[in-house]
Amino acid sequence: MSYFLASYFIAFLPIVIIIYSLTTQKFRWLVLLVADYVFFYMLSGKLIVFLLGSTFLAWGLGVLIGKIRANNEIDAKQKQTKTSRIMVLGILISLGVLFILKYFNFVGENIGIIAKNAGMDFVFTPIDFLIPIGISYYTLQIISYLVDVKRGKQEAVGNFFKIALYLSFFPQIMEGPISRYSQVGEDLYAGRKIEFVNLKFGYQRICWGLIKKFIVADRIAPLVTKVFDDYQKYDGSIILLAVLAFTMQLYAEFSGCMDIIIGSGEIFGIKLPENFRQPFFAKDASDFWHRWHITLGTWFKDYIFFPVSLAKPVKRFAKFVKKYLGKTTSKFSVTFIALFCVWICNGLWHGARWTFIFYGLYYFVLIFIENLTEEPVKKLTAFLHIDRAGKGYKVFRFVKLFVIINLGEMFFRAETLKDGFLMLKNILSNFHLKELFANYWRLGLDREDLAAALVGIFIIIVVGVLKERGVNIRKSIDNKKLPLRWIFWYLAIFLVMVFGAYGPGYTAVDMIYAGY
Amino acid sequence: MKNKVATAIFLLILLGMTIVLSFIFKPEHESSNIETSTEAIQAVAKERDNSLDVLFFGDSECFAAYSPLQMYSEYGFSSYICGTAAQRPCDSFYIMEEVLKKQNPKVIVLEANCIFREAVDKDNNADAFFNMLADKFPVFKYHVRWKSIFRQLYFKKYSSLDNYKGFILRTEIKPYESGEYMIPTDKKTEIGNDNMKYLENIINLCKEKDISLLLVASPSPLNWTYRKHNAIESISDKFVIEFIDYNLLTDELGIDWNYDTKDYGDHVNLNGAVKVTAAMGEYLTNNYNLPDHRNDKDYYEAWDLEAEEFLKKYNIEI
Repeated sequence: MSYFLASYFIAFLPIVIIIYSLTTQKFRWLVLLVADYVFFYMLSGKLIVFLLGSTFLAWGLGVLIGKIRANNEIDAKQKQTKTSRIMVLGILISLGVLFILKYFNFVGENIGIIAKNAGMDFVFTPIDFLIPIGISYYTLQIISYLVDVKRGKQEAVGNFFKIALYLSFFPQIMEGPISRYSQVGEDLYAGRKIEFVNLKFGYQRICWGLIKKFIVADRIAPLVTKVFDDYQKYDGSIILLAVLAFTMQLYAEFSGCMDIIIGSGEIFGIKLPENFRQPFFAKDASDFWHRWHITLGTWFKDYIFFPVSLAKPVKRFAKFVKKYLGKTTSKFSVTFIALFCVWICNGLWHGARWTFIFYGLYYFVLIFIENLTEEPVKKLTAFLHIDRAGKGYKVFRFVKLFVIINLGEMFFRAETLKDGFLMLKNILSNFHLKELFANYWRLGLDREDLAAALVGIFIIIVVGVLKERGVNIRKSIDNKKLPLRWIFWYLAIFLVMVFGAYGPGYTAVDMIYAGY
Repeated sequence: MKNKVATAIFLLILLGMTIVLSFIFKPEHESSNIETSTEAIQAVAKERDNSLDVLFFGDSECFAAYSPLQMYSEYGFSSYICGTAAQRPCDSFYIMEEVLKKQNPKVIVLEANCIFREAVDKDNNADAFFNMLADKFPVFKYHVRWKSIFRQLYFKKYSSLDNYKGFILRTEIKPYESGEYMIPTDKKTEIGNDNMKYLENIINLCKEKDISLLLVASPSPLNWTYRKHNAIESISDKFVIEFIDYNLLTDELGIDWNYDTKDYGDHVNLNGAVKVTAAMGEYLTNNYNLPDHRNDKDYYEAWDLEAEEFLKKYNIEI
């Protein structure tokens, strides 16, 4: 099962919608919960016990923290210590499970390498773990819930089923968005009636997601795989094309999946948080992460950046620096520590690979530099009379960020760090456009595929520009006369049906972010 | 209520249009690879009607081994390779039916390796629901044909690739070094039901059109075995069809696996193809009554000139 399969959006989802709407409001949440667990079981089979276990943990510890907080016989300080301990216990267990399943082999292998180099007789045998899908996403949701309850931002939820609903909602279990209990928890339980307008908008958004995936992402995937797998064989110009194609593939695939997910939620009147906001129009690297995989970025901000910045040892260190090196240095040193923690975690979250760690550190360095240079750049541009709101500067900013994004995604996709650097070297030192024009048709796309992909990318860009300008596209279509808007949606459906890269003749590509 | 009616009408029209599209996209014939099959049909269509004496079918073993222009120079009959990558008997039959509408050959040569090709990964979506849907509405299965529909629009401008009457030539040398591969046995490789059905269709079609069918196994250490030889031999006996196995004749052909294969014994390269083609040309000329077009002005431009250019370009001596 995957959101891009016909069995999801033509079979599973409609069946849930029908049963849901035939059920009285009181029991609709139960329909959703059963759908969630059926969906998860189809994905992960017996591994459903992991989800159940985590749900019990979140619910039980949440209730416990809530009780201590409500207990007036304990003084504030004691409350603080007790609730902290329970929260930390919950976090440690959740992260521990995640760590063992995802990182144990990575750590073991690296210890093995170090031991071998040190001449020690240590051989690490990797363990083949079965990892439940979605664990990277629901673990973060559990942590956010426990922390919010402990902080008093969130009431402890006594009803076990509400927590179960929150952690397992079928549209978001595979790839997020990572939501907070306060955003969706109660909505899931409310059992609202399915409104026609939601059903319509929901399915329209699903259709848009399918266009992104099947017109663009899956079509260019063979090119990306071919070149990244054997980059030594190709000219720098072709590698560059593959890097650009991968960024496009990743965006089309992940944001397309979000369209299906958020569209599915919308049908049931559940507003899942957005994960993308025209990322390529960002001002700089920091802004990019406010527009790309937004819910992951805000999670790290709320649960790593701020807690680290405010942690006692960090504060003490800042005081020390302030005393000897001044206020500005002290401010930057705190940012440095907190940012470093955020980006190491961000890299590792994607998986246990050095390329991911590098990817995280790459953005750490960039964003820290942006922090450091913000004021000087402002002064410099003012001194040089450069209009920061002018077109020229905006174009410069766009190109700069575009290079940054693609460079990052190249390392993100590369097999190993060495491969990433060799690819970069090839692009810089062995670049012949002639090779690209002579060989583009050998890369697994025939000219029709290429044309279809370009049309798809053009549509994505136009939609992006319109959204960035604040146009509400589906509302403006909806305001057209009935024949016009029907024709529009029929065209959209047939675009996928006829020109989509699915079925015989194409290889189905797994959802990329479901693997993290 | 109004919304429900509107939704129902919307979905009904959608259903209707899906059915219409299914009619448009469903091919007349079943084929495992509609795209390459259509390409082959379109390529042969460039030849003058009723101008081809021999047609070759089969998978890549076929288009790598037989060079029509060489046979033309040497013996004067015209031939065309309708072989395509990973062709299966259902594809051969489909292409054959289409091509025979405009051509009337005396001989059809079927490269036998394709008879052992089973459907690979039929449901690459691993989605039973999708497969069910695709069976009901063929547009989901055959929509990729939009490409060939588009291609027909600019077909006239479509330049011919570096292939010579369907022969796809490779000059790389990657030797095969594992020694003798035709080790005698009594065992037979089994032929799948689907492939057998289409093989019989091909046999019947040839009978009906009075075309001689010849089965051939081209030299390929990686693909061919004695078991396959036995399987084809029993078909040859059962249906009374000629069968040549060049894998048993590599010494007579003078095949040297150090030089004559492009990919470690999977296919012959140009060196190997020249040898196999020479033998095939001789066999066809000696056993079938094929005409010699070499002094025929209708063939001059498309055959004599092309053959001359081809032989000169690749230094082939005949």
